[in-house]
Amino acid sequence: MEKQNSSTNNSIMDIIQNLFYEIGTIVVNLLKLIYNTSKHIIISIYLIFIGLFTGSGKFKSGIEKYFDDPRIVTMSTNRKIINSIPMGFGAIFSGFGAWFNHVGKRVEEYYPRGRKNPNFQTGLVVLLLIISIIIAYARPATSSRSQNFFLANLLLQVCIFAMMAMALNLQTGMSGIVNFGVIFFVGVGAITTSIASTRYGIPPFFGMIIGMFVSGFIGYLLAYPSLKLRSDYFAIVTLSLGEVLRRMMLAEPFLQTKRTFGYSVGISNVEGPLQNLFPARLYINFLAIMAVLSLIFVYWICNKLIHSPYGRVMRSIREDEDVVESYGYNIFNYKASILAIGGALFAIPGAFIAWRLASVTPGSIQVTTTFFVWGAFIIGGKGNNKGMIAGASIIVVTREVVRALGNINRSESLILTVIDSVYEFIVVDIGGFIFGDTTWSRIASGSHTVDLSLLQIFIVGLIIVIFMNKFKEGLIPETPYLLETEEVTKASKIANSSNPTQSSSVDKNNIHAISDLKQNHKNQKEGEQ
Amino acid sequence: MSEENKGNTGYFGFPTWTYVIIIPILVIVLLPYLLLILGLLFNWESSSINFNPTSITYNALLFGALYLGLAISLTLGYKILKFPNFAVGEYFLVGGYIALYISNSRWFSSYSNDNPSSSLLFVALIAGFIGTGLISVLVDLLVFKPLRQRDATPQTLMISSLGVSLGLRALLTIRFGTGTHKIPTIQEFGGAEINIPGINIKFDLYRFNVDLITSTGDSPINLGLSVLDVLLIPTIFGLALVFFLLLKVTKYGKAMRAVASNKDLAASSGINVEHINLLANFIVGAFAGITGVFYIAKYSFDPADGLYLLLPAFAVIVLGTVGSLIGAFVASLLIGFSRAYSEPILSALQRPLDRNFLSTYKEVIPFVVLIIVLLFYTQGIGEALERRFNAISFSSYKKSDNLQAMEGDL
Repeated sequence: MEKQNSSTNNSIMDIIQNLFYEIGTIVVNLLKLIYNTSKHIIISIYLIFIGLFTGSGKFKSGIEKYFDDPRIVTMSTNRKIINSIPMGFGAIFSGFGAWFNHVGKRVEEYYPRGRKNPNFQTGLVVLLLIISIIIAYARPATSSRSQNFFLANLLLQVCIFAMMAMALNLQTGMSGIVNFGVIFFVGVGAITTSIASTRYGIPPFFGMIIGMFVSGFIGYLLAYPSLKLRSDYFAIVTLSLGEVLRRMMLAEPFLQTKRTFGYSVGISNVEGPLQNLFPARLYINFLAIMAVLSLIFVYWICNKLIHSPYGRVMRSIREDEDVVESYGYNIFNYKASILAIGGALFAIPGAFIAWRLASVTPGSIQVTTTFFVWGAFIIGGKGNNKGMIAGASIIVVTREVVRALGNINRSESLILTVIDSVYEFIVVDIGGFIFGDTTWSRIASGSHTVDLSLLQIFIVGLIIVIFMNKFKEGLIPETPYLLETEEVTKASKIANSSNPTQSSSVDKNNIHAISDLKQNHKNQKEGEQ
Repeated sequence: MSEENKGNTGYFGFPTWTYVIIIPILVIVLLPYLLLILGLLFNWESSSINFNPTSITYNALLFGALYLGLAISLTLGYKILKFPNFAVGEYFLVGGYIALYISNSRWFSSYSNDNPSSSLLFVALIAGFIGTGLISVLVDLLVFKPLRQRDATPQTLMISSLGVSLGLRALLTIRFGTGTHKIPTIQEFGGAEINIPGINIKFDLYRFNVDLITSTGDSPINLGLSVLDVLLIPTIFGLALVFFLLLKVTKYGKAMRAVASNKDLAASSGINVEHINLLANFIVGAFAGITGVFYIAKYSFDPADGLYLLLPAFAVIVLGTVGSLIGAFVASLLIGFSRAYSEPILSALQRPLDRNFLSTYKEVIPFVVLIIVLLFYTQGIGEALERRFNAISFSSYKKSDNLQAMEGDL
């Protein structure tokens, strides 16, 4: 601004300089605007990305003119219509994102001190769930049966991951016990459920309840070392327990299916609840509905726990153990109880994992699953149950959609063609130039196409890194507990009003609180920029 | 270090450091018998054990060396960068695949002619050391440095290292597939003879044997060691020792210890903390990478190995007190020994014509030892060791040392 005033000399250089300066300020302001709205824009970019991934008809027909590539096969009109649906949805949802950004900003103005409107959060979660279902429908499928399976499986997986993340949230987000043994508890639940039904003929649902008891009891036992050990030691002990369980499945005859000669690895032929009532291909739909119901149940329990006096004690234990102890609370009992409750809740998704494939194998007790659940926990925003559903849906939708790409024709999807050609260029041209063609092709293992089942893991890793770098408090941050009194709402309204003269109409007793709130709000805004 | 005020006595009034020596010995000695008794309880029919002390000791040192390579990376990451780096398992993979690149390059094309160059292993080791270190630095600059500048919590850093680990492993698996790989280890160094009165030791490296020829003219005792086997253990343990000494002696080592002790104080005394962080990252990658090169030369190598070797390495650093290098050293030997001892017993105990139930448990033994020792020693063994041997040994994190590092000519 000072430069503008100083341009009294009418030399051409000065005018050009001012022009550049103004253009610069416009660009900087635009960049600031983009940065401020980046949270929602990244979600919309993510959606457009998935839309592109599932196959884009419109882009393709334009590019066909420029690339005379024999691999590009002309598509049928039906296929083009199907493929353009996700693009359309992507555009609609980017619009939704912008609208949410607008609404969110207005909502935040009325809820200072980091509070968010709970309706806004619920809306975001419902939106993410709807998106995942719509993506599943828009996905090009070979038959209605595979489409149905994909959709039900997606819903089931989202529910399983959300339940795991919620139980983790109880232990880590609410109580501060760094638990890396997610798959250990889940595995114990799955194994107990399946053994109860296969070996002892107990009905599956009661098998799950037994699994909950066993898993919860093991969680209670784990409290003994957790009180003694430092938190990172406890994390690594629980991490290794998951691996021990996987090895036990490989070794222990009790955890294997008996054949006529010896044993086969894994527990197979696990009966699901009410399995005889449904035909085999529709059973996964029933399981998905069951999973949604139990997700609601788990969500209800977790919400009750978090907002109860018990949850308040747990949160203060997370913040400072010594203070809580000085108030006379027995920390061991609290930690043991939350480990037991969390362990019991972990057994529910474990049972669903066993029922989904009607078996438990060492492959279903991978340590990597723990990492995925932690990713969902962090992306969603720790300490918030709605965030768990959001994080789980992002992780699972990414994984399943990228995995489903394996079914569609590679040459019909633009983004796959691009990825493959880039990969081929790196492997054949650059690698062959440096290392020699013949030797190089030996370790290139044949085809120069990207294995999509591995790309999903890469993308999940990328999402975790981006989220940690950009928004480490997650999609939906924890809402600080604040009493709903008239004073606070009044003060917050006044603090947000831009007109300073209004503040004179308030009691003098409230002035300190108002100035405090104003300062807070200002800090918050500065922090955003 | 606040435990110093509590006094040095342990459970039964003995000084704690005696337990550090007694418990490992108890574990090493009693674990085989415990397993034996357990096995006899379940399976009476067959229990013939081939107990070869030489091979067991050798295997113990081998496992110990492999665990130590990763454990030093993890310890350094914990001490200086202040978070458990899960990407170390992938740096290990990167090291192995760099060796694969080198062995398949046109200068060392080992498959086309059966006469590979003699310097392959050395070139691969050096390339793995430097290349993985550079990749670690690159990852740090891209991912961890922006987080550090924002004063991120260790938990944030740890989760983003999980993300890096997933991404790197996926990229490596896309490139090299899930199959196993191995680099050829044919080496031509010629032979060497050492004549000691009484015993004639003949290192016939062309035939990859070390023969002990007694002077009475008996048939030579073949130890069956290849050049790689001779190189592996001394190289990793030697590198670890050299690293200790460098930490103790050099200017950068002192600066590193100062940063580990107190970052702000180190920065105020003129140490460039960011440089030290980059150097630490290089060493983190380099140790994991050189372990990977040795692993791909010794065993067949696939992308799942990164995580499955990382977990015992985590057990090692927890057992040896997180952040203590001497603890990692001792704990890697302890876990290596317990695993090597349990292996022949477990494989002997199972029924001859059955699936190998029990020998699968050899991978579980490190975690079992970890849990048993942690029940008695909640702090790990390295803490007590450091407290006892501070004055004598090259323990790197003594308080007065750090002060000296601050006051020294930095």
